Amino acid sequence: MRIDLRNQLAEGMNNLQAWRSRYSKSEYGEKVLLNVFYRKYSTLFMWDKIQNSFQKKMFGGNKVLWSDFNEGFREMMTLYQNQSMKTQPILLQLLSEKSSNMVGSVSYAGFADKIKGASQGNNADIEEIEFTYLHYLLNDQLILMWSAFGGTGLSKIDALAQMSGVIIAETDMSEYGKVENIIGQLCTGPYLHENYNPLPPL
Amino acid sequence: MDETVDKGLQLSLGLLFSIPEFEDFYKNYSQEKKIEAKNGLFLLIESFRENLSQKRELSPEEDILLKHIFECTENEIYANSALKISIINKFQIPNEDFLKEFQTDFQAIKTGDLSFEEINKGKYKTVKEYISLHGVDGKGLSELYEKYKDFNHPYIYDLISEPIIQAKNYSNGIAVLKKSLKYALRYPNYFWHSLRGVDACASSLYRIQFLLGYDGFREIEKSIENFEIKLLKLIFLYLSRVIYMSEGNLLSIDAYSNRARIVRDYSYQFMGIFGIGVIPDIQYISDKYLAYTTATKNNLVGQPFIQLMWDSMKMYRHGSHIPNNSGGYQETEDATWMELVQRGHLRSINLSEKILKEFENFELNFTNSEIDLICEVALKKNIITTHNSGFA
Repeated sequence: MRIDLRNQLAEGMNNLQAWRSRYSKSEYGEKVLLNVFYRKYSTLFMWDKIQNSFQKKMFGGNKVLWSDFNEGFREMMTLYQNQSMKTQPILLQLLSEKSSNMVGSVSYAGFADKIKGASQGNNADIEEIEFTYLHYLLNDQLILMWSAFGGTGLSKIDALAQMSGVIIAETDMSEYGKVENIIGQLCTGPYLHENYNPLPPL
Repeated sequence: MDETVDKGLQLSLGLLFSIPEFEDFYKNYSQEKKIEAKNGLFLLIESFRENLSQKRELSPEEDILLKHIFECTENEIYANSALKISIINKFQIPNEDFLKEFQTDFQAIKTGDLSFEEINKGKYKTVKEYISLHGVDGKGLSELYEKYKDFNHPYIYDLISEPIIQAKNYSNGIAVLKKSLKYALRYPNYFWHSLRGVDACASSLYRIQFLLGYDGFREIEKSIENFEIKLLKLIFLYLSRVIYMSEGNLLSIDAYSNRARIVRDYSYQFMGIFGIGVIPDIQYISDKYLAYTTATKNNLVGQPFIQLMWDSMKMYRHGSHIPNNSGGYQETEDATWMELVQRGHLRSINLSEKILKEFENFELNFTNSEIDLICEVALKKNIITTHNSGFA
């Protein structure tokens, strides 16, 4: 793992800490998951823009969209923030009417048991929700970073290698769910394995 | 000024006026009372909440907004303080209600046996130092750990690991201690605003330092660059945090005394940490004396506490624990004993703030693999062949 996620993990931990004091035990788990899907829907809705960083030149090679990674990441973050503002007003409707929809590789309905358990004070469910939040927070940020690397002229595989230090065989990386799983296995999972501390009971 | 935090507070204060009743309430309130500093703002919000809830029920959004303003205010004060080491953000104090039950359970497994073990042999010519060891029921301790092993609090892991390590059951003791170290050795530490959490982290780091010893440090340095300095900085930081957040309560006596000891035991390393021209013994003089004054303020008298004052004075007069013919720092420093105490006090605040910045910048973080290595080395240095099963 080559990319530094310390700031992102710290941001996630601080958010969890703030929500723990802001929300009651019965609503906390659901609020955290709302945030997970807020981010995931925003990422899904801007998926074309994320893929757009990997453009081919007419006569071979990859297009360079920005001079360096930092410029690209700033660009992707701006796009994400604009998208998230559009997601916010429709989020609750999406989660209630289309809860079985896959967003990346997960659906909101898939967490129904965890939400129920968390609202009843089950600490194992609360911890799983918190871990889920941190996992997808880092994962979705890494997807933006992956896209930012793409705009520097790297292919999808090379951009992934740049972040993870691992070169994988040529594979289809055009869908959110697939990319999410690959980045999760190569980057987010190993990083959290080395740096995650579970929180005490709520 | 942290712009993000400042913006957050301003935005939330602006939102207050979205609650229809606030404007009139504010006009009346500000004519009667002056809103000054954090407490003034807290009082305003609390009075408004009370006033509003007498008239109607608060909506969930309004309740969240009022909580959010408290949160933003606390965050702003913490982010902009020049003395972060002593500030407690009330919104970041974790819920620790379960610790009451844990403490009751822990007391219940004490057997009432008491033994004394001599420590620091040869430190003094005429005085011997002992620590008192209280017996615990091994089976009970094992059951206690089973009950609380998933509670993820360094206080629990530190307290349980102590008797196991004292019983020289290192393989089990260090495994429990490791769970506490994972919180201490990483920023952000969820327990930074909990006195019990911080004290447990300080105690765990202090203990692993003892278990490693000089040889252990050397071995780990082969794999983790600058390990010794990083660990010593963290011990100094956590002990300082205990001292400055506890406002002179009993915990700070041990923290002062342990800080003095760590600075003295690793004086060459601390010469580098403090910077050129600073003599670590001055910190020792200061911390031992401040431990003594904290004890007297808490009405603690008797040999162990008076000894803290003697340690400070002997170091000032003789540059050693043992009186000798040299003039010590009385001769070499152009300052009185109390001036050196004050100098050490100020210097420790500055140093702990500096180390805190490094900690917040993730420069003192360790990964789980590194913590595994640290504990493996500590175990190797201390292991004795036992066939213990469980903690008995």
